[in-house]
Amino acid sequence: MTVSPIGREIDRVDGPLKVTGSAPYAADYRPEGLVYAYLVQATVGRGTVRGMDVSRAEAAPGVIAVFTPFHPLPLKSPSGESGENYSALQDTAVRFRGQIIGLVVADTFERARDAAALVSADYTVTPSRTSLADAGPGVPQGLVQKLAPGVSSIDAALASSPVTITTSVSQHAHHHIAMEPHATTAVWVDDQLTVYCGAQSPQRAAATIAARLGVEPAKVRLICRYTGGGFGQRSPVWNEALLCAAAARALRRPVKLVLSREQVFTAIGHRAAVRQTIRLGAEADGRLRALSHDSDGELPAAGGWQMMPGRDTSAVAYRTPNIRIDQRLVTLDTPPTWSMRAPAEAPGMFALETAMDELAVRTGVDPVELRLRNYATEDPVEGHPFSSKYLDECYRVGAERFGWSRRTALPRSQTDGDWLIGMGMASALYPAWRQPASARARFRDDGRVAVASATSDVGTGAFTMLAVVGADELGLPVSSIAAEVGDSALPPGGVGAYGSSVTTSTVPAVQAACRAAVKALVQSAVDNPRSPFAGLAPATVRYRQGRIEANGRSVDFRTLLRTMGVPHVEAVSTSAPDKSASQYKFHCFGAHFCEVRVHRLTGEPRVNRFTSVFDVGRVVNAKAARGQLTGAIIWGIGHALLEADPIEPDGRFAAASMADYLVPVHADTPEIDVHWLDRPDPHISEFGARGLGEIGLVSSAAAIGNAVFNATGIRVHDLPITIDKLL
Amino acid sequence: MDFLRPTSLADALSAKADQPEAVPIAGGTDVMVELNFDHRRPSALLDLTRVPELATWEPTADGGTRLGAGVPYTRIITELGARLPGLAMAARTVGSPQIRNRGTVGGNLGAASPAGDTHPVLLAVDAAVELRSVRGTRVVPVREFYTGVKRSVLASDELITAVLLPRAGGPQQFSKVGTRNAMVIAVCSFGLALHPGDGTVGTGIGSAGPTPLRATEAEWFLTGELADGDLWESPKPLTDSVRRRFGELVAEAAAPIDDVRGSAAYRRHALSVLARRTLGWAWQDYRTGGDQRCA
Repeated sequence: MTVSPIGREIDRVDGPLKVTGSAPYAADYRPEGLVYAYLVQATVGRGTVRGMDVSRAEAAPGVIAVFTPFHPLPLKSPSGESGENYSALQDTAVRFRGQIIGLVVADTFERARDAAALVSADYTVTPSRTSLADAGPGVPQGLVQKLAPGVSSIDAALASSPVTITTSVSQHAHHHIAMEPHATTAVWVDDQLTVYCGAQSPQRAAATIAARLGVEPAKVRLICRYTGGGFGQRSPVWNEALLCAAAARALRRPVKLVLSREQVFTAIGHRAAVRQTIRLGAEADGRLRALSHDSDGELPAAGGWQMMPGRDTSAVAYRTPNIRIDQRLVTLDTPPTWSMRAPAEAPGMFALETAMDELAVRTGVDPVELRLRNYATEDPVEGHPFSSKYLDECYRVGAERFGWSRRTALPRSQTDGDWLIGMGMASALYPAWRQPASARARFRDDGRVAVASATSDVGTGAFTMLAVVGADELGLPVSSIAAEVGDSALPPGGVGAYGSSVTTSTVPAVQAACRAAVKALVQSAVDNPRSPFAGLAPATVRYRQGRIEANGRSVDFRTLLRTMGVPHVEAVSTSAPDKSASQYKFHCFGAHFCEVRVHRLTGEPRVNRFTSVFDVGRVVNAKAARGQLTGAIIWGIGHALLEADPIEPDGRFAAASMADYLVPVHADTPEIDVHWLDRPDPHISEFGARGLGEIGLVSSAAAIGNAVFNATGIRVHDLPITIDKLL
Repeated sequence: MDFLRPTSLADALSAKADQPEAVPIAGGTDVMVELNFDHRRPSALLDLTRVPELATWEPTADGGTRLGAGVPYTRIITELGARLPGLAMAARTVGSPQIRNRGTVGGNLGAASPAGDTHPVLLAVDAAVELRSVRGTRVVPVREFYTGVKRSVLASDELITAVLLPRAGGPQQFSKVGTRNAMVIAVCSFGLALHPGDGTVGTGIGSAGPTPLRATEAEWFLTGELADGDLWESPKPLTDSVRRRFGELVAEAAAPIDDVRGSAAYRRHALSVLARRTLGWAWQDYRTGGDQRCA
């Protein structure tokens, strides 16, 4: 008898391959005749390339070709889906420092890199717009407003509130820095292109590449079986991968392009810098009367993702009669932006939950109690009920696990030697999104069942999710399932690995595909003349735990397939949300509690411990879930204390390397106690899973900032919270 | 670019004499960064990792230690924690385990960055640097070694072959402030050595000036206070005013600038804290460890 693996601690099925180095990533493919490309990037912030001297590069040993705006590779202009709004090398405009202005191809990587350094360019330089503060306020994008009857404006609602709080916060650019630097290996065979390139959505990426190269979609196959991190950075296709494919076509041989770590900082999009102001109006007991959320987000002239931090945060979080969200975008001459894990929600909830903490301080209401007094059971703007919301239980369980009752509200009231101790909390939310998705289940005559979906495992555990759900559905051990993702040639309809939507969307598709495959296997068993069940009515044949049974006979599917001489039997199914889903607002929720210490004399901030409790629906794999939630909380430590890449007036990132752009290391990371409520969402799917890849990052920085205030009495509004701001 | 791989010190010295522009490389934790960023393109690299003479340490006749320039930080931590306590403390704060497996004190001196983690301790213990060339050997006190930002007295035909460290006659300390808890360039750092034998103290400041610096005034002040109070013989707790003044003098000795890691004002402030802190630890160690040392 097989025990269901759902919700248990399951090792990732791709783990052994990864730790032994035998999982091939994009840069690991070495087709016959391979040559190597290296980027040349603009060294001015804005202007025009007047001319380029490529003579030394072309004469350098091993160089095969040098492409520039004056000797371009043809690419079509992008459609709306791309991260950038231009195609590289098609004109001489320089839109930002680090824009690709050349591609050198040589017989080795080192020779290509060496020759790229020999290319020089002359520019006409125009001043760069780089400061969000100087270039703002931006152009309004999405105004969300709801006012109670009789209220003329949000300002009027605020003015009539007994207590008001105004909080402005800012943060610089953030970088995804996926562990695998961007890499592409492009191979043409006749007019058929295979691209090995990390991608969050292999089918969308293949379609984009086809469109930009001007070939039929069917001519492009993208393989990203293993991808070393996505975080949003691998959802569009960037110019570098397109140039690699175009160079392979022009040179009629396979080309590989691997970016250096530093090139990734500028050639690939970052999370936009953003400034926000929250205004809260409340009763003396903390109940909200008005909430205003204004933001100015960076929008590069070169294109990028629109930073809208209020829509999925302040418009959803609390019961408030008057809400106004004004999201503006400021055009700057910076490298492109793109969504980054909890793209708008992490900065947006940092702003809101910082303001809520200030409201708690002002009103003297405990921060947990303040949030319960403003608890929303329905979407405060649109009025839809939440499909399933147990945030109140998250607060209660979290406070108990953490020992919140031991906190003292007065800052600087708890010490340990020269260390000031503080505790803070914040609530988290993130939209749950189910997309239509397809999957294939295939009974094979080697005794395994291949479960496939054209999504991507960017390190999240999608392989294992397919295996666990397939095993559960078919009553087989997890080891009997061969999971497949990361290939655009899999059946159409795989979902992209973004928006925390893969598990939510794909689990129902896998279940449907497994059921359909069982049906097909039974049908095959009664139809095939060599089958021991030939001629029986399908209704009399049943499938149970890998065996076909009827009339007292029981045959495992491997034996059955071999007896019938059929290598495999499969089914592809698509599963989409019910129509009734539109009545509900789907969100994940969570509550973070953390303790920090800040050195009284040096200002060094350290996170002592962290407890987070989440309401994310039904969990497929406890081990993967804990990994995702813990990892995202660690990102929150970076968000609060370390990560920032200021941009200088000449358009240069000040911290575009891993020596200067600091992310948390083990020594910065305390024990993190992650817990989730096991409450399946009854409306999102029969299975009840909501995605959890991003919610851990939402508000974990705010909890740290709030704890730092409790420790020191200092409220840092400009992230990150660094030593010199705490003296 | 030539890649020279001598297998003996004699070969290495003659290679350096023949090609003075060759850049010596040991662990590569500084040189490779510069090459990868295309900050320099030397005509030759002189790989010192196969020179056995550089990879050993031995006791000296006067109880000190001769540390080969190519001994990595990991070995300093595991083999020399007792002999070279201050240097081992500094070595523990360097980079990651992988960096500590590769990086060397010789490389730290060769790069001569003011942010190098070992300089404050080398200054505090009054170490000396052994420089060799085909012309001969000279020994330069580390206090005279640094001449400017990433510059030293090292001649173009010379190699750093060893560091000579006196016997640790008393407690040594090292402390560093970084923007995160590990794998970080120091915002500022401080090394302290107490020398009960001759009644003096040594200091070293990192990341707060164009070169690693001594806090000479602070050394004189503390030496005088310890002598005046006869504290070496009858060690009492140091008064707050002594510790505070010591910290102030250390801060005054620094010449920091504002940069992305921290402001000049923060560095001065933090140095005074580090100086007080390390002095507190070292003096406590002297007072409580004194009996054991006598026994």
